Amino acid sequence: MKKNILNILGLISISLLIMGNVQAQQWTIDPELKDAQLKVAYDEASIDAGRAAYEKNCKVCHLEISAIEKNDRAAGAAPNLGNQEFHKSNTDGEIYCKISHGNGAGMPPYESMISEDDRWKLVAYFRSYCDSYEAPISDDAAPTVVAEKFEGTITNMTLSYDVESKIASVVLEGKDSAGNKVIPKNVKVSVYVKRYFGNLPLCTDKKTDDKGMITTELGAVPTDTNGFVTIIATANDGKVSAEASVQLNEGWTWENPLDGEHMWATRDKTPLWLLISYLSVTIGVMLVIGWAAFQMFRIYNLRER
Amino acid sequence: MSEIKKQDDNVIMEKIRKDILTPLTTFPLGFKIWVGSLLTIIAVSIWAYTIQFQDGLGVTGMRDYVSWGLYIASFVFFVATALVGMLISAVVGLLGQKWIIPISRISEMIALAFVMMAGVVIVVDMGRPDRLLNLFIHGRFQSPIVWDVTVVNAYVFISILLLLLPMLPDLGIIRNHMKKDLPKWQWNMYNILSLGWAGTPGQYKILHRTIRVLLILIVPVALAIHTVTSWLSALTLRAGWDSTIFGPYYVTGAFVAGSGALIVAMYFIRRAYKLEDYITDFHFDKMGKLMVLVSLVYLYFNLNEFLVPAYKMKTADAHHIHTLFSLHGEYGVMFWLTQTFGLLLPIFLGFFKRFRKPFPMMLIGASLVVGAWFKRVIIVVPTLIHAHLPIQNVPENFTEYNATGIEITVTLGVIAVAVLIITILAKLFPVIPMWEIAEEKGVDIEKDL
Amino acid sequence: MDHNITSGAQSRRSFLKKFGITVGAAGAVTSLGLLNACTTDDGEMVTVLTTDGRRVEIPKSQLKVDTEEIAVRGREGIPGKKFVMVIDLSKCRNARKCMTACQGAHHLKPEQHHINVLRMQNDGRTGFFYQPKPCMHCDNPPCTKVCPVDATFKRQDGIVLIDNERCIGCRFCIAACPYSARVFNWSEPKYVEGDENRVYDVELNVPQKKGTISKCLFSADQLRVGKLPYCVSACENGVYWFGDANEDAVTNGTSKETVRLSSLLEDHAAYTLLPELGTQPSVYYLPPKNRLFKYKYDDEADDWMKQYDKEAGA
Repeated sequence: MKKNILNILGLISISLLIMGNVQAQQWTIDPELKDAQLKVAYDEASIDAGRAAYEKNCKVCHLEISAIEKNDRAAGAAPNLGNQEFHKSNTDGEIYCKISHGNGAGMPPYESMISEDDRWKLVAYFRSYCDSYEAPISDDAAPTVVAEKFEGTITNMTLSYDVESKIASVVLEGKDSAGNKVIPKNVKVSVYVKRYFGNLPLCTDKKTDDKGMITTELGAVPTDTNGFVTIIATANDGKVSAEASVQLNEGWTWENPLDGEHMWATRDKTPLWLLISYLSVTIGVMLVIGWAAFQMFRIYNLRER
Repeated sequence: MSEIKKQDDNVIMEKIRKDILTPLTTFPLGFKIWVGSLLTIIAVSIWAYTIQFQDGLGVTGMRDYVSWGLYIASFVFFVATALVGMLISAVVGLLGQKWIIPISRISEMIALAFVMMAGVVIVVDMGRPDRLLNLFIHGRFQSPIVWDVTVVNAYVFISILLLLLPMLPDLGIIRNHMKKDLPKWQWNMYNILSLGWAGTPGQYKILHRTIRVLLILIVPVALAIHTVTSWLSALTLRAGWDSTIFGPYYVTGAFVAGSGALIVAMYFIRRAYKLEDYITDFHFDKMGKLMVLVSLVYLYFNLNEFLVPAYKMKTADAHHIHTLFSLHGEYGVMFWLTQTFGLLLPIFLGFFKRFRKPFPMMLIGASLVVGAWFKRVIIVVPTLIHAHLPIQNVPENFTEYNATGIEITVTLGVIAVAVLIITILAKLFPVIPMWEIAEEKGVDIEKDL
Repeated sequence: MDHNITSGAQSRRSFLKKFGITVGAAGAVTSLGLLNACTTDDGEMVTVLTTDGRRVEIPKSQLKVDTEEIAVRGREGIPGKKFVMVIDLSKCRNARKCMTACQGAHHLKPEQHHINVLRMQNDGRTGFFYQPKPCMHCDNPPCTKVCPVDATFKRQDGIVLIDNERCIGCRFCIAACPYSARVFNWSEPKYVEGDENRVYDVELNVPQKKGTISKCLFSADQLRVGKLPYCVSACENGVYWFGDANEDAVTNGTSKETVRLSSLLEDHAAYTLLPELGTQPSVYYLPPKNRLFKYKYDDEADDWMKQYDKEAGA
């Protein structure tokens, strides 16, 4: 009975503590920016730049974001900035200020690290996850040409690599909602190379052309000793992917760092000079001691009575 | 003529035998109390060690930062003092200085006892003494510890030989004259150990040559044991240890410690065995001068070792210098007391003939020995406290070293064993080489004495 | 010439070998994939994969955990790799999740640190920053040089490990390490249930053994199965990057993104600790520039022993 009461009290106090922590956040909103609207054009360029800045600065804590209703992260952890509640309860200017000044606790102030322009582009990027976002129409902005987003499903992805031209290509095939074959255009395809702990992005900003294809150079990528790497292509935010093991070069010889003789090596790799010195000194001293013992034996032999 | 000489010889030999061999069969109360006290200390320390063996090295004051403490300091001290055998018998002996004849055997006894205890205290310091054999099965030639084990063992064997071989004629004398005075087992021991010594020219020839070769060999071996021991510190990257002159620093310090130990042993053995005719005031005077000489050389190395980093005050060195030299530093008081009573004062006093008398020399010698032990603590511990990176996120006691009762008890026990070994050796064997004294007095020694 | 392979072939046997499992002599797996299933009265059957990808059932008694295999591969390491760690000091804010995760995985006591987050201040006038300090797994390791029994050794993948079944506890390696990266089990180690039944794996080093040395292993047991070290994964602030220098790629423990090692080190002018000592560490630090968190040193909150007692007791 007593234990239960203590448990309940503990639970309550912890909850209060968490709520208290949440309320202890001190967001600094500049009054003149509180109702400000997006100060960069809400177009693909801004969103892409915002995404780049996000991956460089924010992703470590906020991780991947997605357009969901409510924040799905644990209390006290960096929230999922694609959640709709966040978008509904913050103006563009408020988001900008939160990025710039932080909250004095878990969210640091980024105004010295990210330029003003980039911070607005971050806002634009976040807003791209907001279902009901209406971009401000600025007078001098050119009408943005938003390329048509591909509707339909991708049925096949073919990943290939041409050794001579050193170009990797990804070709997508798809069908529309009616089931007719259609070429997926303007789909973002990313190409990675598989590394031991994760996948290194090689290109992330290409969109399929009219033939449903993207091409990219792999660049200088370290291979295994036979010259092979495994490349991975994904499309539609990872929903479709393909892998290929390709040979980029002749390979290289791995030199085992343990091959040489070192002072730090195991006994069988003792530096030769040391081995010879140690053994000759030790054996030499032992021989002299043995000789002395033999002399004692000779003394014994010379005993007379 | 030869008849008279022979009678003279017999008279001389009889006196020598009486003076030097009487202690072998007498066990005065003082001796019993002395041995009894040593055995008590040893018994308590064995009990303390069993606690350490069961519970682990955590019962000592060592922790992750000061990971070497009294045991390693004692190890260095034992190896240092053991060099006295080489100093007296080999260096001074090979130089043809005859005054060392009465004390050379005592110095070999000290050397043997202390170097054996060096091996013991190292095992005491091991975290897994049950795995000692790994050292021999898996030993790496690149490790200074393997070098140290090699040379220390070599020194043990050479010291045993240098104790036994010059003693062969004396063992012959005991075998010839003391059969009825000794228990059968003891006389048998001397009989066997004397290797049938008959004093023939042939035997002497072999003896002299072998001893000479071993004396020459022991010089590099003894230098090696203490240089390699210094490398246990100097081959690391720590301030206070990362020094190029650690080898000679240790070796010269060893001579100081060894001469101090020898002087103390000389005094008490002389007193206990009434050997004033053999270990005379002259010997204390000469040892006093030798002590001043080696201490001056050690002082020279101390100046180099401390003034050079103090001038530059590199970051890590500065901490180390401050710890030692400032009386507010953690080891400041110990450092200055050690340097004063273990080096500076002995040098100063040694310049005056008044202090090169037996009793003052014994006090100075004791001061040297105690100072030498504390100096090794100063060498080992402060460096470990001041690593390159700060000590954080650990309990308070990790930032300092406080030796525990068990640690001190075990250390005292090992020292007691060393002293006990010397006591037993001095009791079992004649401490003064009778045949060499006889030879000096003109006795014809090329016979069965 | 086009390559159109959509799946890589992986040696099934080497997959099994990762877990130290070999099939007993009675049931040798041949290259044709035929398994000689003995018709003994061994009751239980288990399903295993053969070298050519077929699933067969063999009696469970023929599977054994090969301790010798574990010991040999633990000493040899993973060929072709050179593991490095990159620590971004501008992101560390002393959350110490790395320390907790490591101590948990290796059954360490609170004062035993394989990785220790230090509060550093280069000069009286400069600001302070937090610096996680694992073992540097040096390429010229002073600790490995002095070990008398080969209990600590460097592997072909660059990792320096300790064989706690051979260590004699002389503590010379502690004296030799300038980074104070090693700890010693001064008394009975921390006991976690099940410790007495564990097969000793030098890559995990659990349980700790009294009278022997312990230190950061770069979580070699995790690396063998392609996972990041415990500290790297536990960090919430993106401080750690870990990877293979031969592949020129490191992966961040928090966001799991992979970048080129060379770019990371060049962009941030990375450095190593105590480079003048010639130890050639495998741990790089990105300077604490533009530290994101303005904090004051809090005696109470930053006291690890007090905090640990509080968290452990809570």
